[in-house]
Amino acid sequence: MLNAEEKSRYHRHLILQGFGEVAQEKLKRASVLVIGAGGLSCPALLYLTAAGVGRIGIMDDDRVEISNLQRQILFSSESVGRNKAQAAAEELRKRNPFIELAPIPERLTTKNALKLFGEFDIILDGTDNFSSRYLINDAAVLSRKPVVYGSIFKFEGQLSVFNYQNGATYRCLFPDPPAAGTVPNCAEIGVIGVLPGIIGTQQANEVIKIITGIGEPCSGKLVLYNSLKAEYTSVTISRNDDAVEKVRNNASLFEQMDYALFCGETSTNPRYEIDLVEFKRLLADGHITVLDVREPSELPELSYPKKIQISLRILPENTSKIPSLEQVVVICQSGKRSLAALRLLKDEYNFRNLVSLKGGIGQYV
Amino acid sequence: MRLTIHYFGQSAEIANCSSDTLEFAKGNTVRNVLDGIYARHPGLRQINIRLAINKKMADSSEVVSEDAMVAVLPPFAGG
Repeated sequence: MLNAEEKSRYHRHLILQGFGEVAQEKLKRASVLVIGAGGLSCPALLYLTAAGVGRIGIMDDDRVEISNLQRQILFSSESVGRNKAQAAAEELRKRNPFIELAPIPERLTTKNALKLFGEFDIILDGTDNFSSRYLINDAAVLSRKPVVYGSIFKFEGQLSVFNYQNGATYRCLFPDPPAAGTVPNCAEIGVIGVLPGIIGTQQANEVIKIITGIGEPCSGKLVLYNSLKAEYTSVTISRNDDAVEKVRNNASLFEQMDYALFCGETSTNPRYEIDLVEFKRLLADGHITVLDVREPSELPELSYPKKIQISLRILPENTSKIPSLEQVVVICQSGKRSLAALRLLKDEYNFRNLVSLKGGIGQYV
Repeated sequence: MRLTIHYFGQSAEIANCSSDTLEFAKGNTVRNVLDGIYARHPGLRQINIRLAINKKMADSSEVVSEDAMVAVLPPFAGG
């Protein structure tokens, strides 16, 4: 039941033909778990809050950084340093006191996912890495919850609804993650600020459609958006029953699964990664060559006494340029591509003199 | 038969274009088309792409018709 103040607040929904009080009541009774409080989630959260979704979980263990402010529109200079889930909840409470906002300042893991997903009707994927996306897919299949998916790359976005009424899942579209370090994220290559605003808002729209039953949720459909041309392309996706069965059959293994390892986001062997302190020490000693595997256009430009620049993409054709005897430190923006380069050079070209800078030079400058 | 291939996201960067046309034999399957795309743009092998034919995600064994529209779709990580 909506009280008088709520009826005033949601008046424009209540008088809207095709929506009305019945739909608004459904929003009030619904719950959504928003995973990640970043570029996609900020606009999605703003609209879900404004719309009156009754209970919204916000999950993020990270802190607001100044570089977030260009696109993560829930935050301000005052938010910098605070936990994102908590800062987001505080902002949203000011906007709508009639809903429940539950910040969860933790990382989604195989240990907490199933229990958490069980407590919400719908999952919104606002994450920025593959290990989370595959974890979310599998947990959603196991707990039978729909996932509203959004993702971005520079000026382009993707949108879909997975696992809704026996529809396609993320693995029906992309069964396996890409090789580690091959698909960079926003920290490595940048993003136009408005883009997650557009895709995230559309994610909120999909959540509202699922809750209220209006329109057609993007289930079985991948919507591609190009912000440079303002063009949409839609592609239909079929459910791959084998991909879904495989997840269900491995249910007992779910909690032991290491998604970060599965997606190559960590190394099993700490010997191959060095930290910043070690890197600086090696540079000071003067006997190393730095192999920069970023694209030549990536900033900042860096100079070292001995440096080679070969982007990861064209590494296989240029291995002869890499010294095989002296110590080589492989670097990139966040440590993912350098690790992928190290694996490639070590496993396929037998280089024995390589280490990768863990966390990348993004933390250095 | 000439097919127009449309590239999205990172695949457009690697192919260095948003679309190009490639020559295929009649009766070629999605797998053949993928191999042709890889032959023209070897860098695409690294990023896990899927093909959509006429705006529908395609299975590798499907035969591709003469005037088909081919889209190359990579996964996006960012959020």
